[in-house]
Order: sequence, then C-alpha cells, then structure tokens
Amino acid sequence: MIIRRQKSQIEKWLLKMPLMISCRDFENFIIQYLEDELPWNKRFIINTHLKVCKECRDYLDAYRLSMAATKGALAQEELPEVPEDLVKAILAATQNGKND
Amino acid sequence: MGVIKLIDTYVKYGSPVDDQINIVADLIAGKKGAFEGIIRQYGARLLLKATQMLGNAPDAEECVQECYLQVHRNISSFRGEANLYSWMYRILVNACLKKMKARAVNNSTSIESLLPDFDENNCRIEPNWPSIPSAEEILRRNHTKRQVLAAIHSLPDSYRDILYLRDIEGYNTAEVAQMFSLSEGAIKVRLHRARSALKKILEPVFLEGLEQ
Ligand SMILES: [Zn+2]
Repeated sequence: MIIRRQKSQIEKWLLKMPLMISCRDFENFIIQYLEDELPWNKRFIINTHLKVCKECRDYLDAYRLSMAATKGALAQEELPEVPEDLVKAILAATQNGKND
Repeated sequence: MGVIKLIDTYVKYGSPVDDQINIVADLIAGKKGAFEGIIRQYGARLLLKATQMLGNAPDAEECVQECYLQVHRNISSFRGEANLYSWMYRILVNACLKKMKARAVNNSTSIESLLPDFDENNCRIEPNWPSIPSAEEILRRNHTKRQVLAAIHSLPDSYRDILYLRDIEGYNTAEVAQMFSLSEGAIKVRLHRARSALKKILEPVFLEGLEQ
C-alpha cells in the first residue's frame, strides 16, 4: 500500500501530464460536477481524477453517505406531541385577533 | 373498475380536493372548531419541521404559533392551487428563517475548520476508509441516528438551513436563493460547504466499527 506522503509526491508529478488536476482543483469543480453542470470535457477530467485518486473517491462516497444518512435520520424522527399549552396559546391569540 | 371504485369512494366520502375546499371554506367562515382542526391535523408535522430547522423546542413552538397566526390572518387569500399543508409549510419556513436571522448567530462551530484538508502538493488528506458503509447500515447501528441528528444541529444556522431546505425538503436552488436573498452561486457554495462539514463531523461515527 502506498502511504499518503508518497502518493502526494506522485500526484505532484502526475500534475505535469495533460488532463491531470490536483485534488484541490477537483474540490473547486465538485459542486458543478454534482449538479451536472460541467461540459463533457471538464467532466472527463474530473472522472479521470476520480479513477486515479482513492482519496477523492472516498471523500465523495463519504460525502454522499453523510447526505443519505442525514436524510434517513431526519425522515425516521417521530412526530412530536403538540403541547396542549401551545394549542391553547394559538387559539387564544387568534381570538384576540378577531376582537381587534 | 378501479375508476368506478374511486368515484364510488368520492361519492361516499368526498375527494381529498373536496375535503380541502370544505376545510378552507369552514376556516374562512370562522366555523367553530375548524381552526382547532387544522392545529390538530398539521401541528405535529409543522412542529417537527420547525424543530429540525431551528434545533430547539422553544423557538420551534414560537414559529409554529406565528405560522398559525398568519394562516388565520391570510386564509382568505389562499388560492387553493397549492395543497393547504404545503401553503402552511411555506409560511412556517419563512417564520423559521426570520427567527434564525433575528437570534444570535450560532457561531459555535466555524465552517472553515470543517472544510476538506489538503497538503502542500494540493493532495487531499482523507482518513483511511477500509470500505464505505451504506446509510441503512449506519442507521441500524445503536445511537448513530442520534449522532447524525446532533451533527446537523451543530452546523452554523444558515448552512444547516440551506442544506435542510435543498437536500431534505427538496426546494430547488433558485427557491432557496430567493428565501435567503442570495445568488444561486452563493447557495451552491454554501450547500457544498455544509455537506462537506457534515461529512467531517460524521467521519468518526461512520468509521467506528469498520475494520481498519
Ligand atoms: Zn484527489
């Protein structure tokens, strides 16, 4: 397994090749990538980076996972009991509104 | 056959659209019990949404009350092109955003410290993920659901609410931009930062139990 430090050196060298971008460049394109707003050539460059970079692949997968987990956790929340005081307060306030 | 059955049901019980028209007519006429009816019917759902947006019960209850007062005041302007609940929900969202802007800025977490890290070669610094579990797997684990909910509430207010409205409630970027009086570009940047921060907060939770 290549340790991150060595990988970073390799990436620095890879950046000299055409179509190669750094992880930081990848980060700057990511919103447009996820929103499907990139032209095909930029999309190709991003996909190429994802193929060679495990860190960005893992990052994107974990990013999507945290979105899915958040959505799931919020959807599973149980409906709260509406406090009777709140119901009374709302009804009282609307009665006041009528008398105005 | 299905259609006949459906018509039959409508004749017997009234269609959902008829129900809504009746409810709205009763509300406009100020029929006794009608207003309490919509508090009992939608109150819990609205309270849950407000709590998820604002992160605490007192603020959420205040906004639900404000929402109902506005519904009471403006029911005659309800056009019926939207569903009654969606119309009320939109009023609630506006009340929550107003509340959020008015209260002290939640600066407990700075978003900058939660953005992705890079080394001097602009190479991403990412924890070692042996595998990426599925969301179902994560939520099946004990206590994880609570940790995920706590994570979303630890985000700074405006970031959390942009994420909530776009990713959870399904508003599009243009709608959220209008609610926050920001450009669509600014909303997208904040959305990405919010998701990225959430991912970083949740990393230890997700990594727990994965074999290294
Ligand atoms: Zn990368």
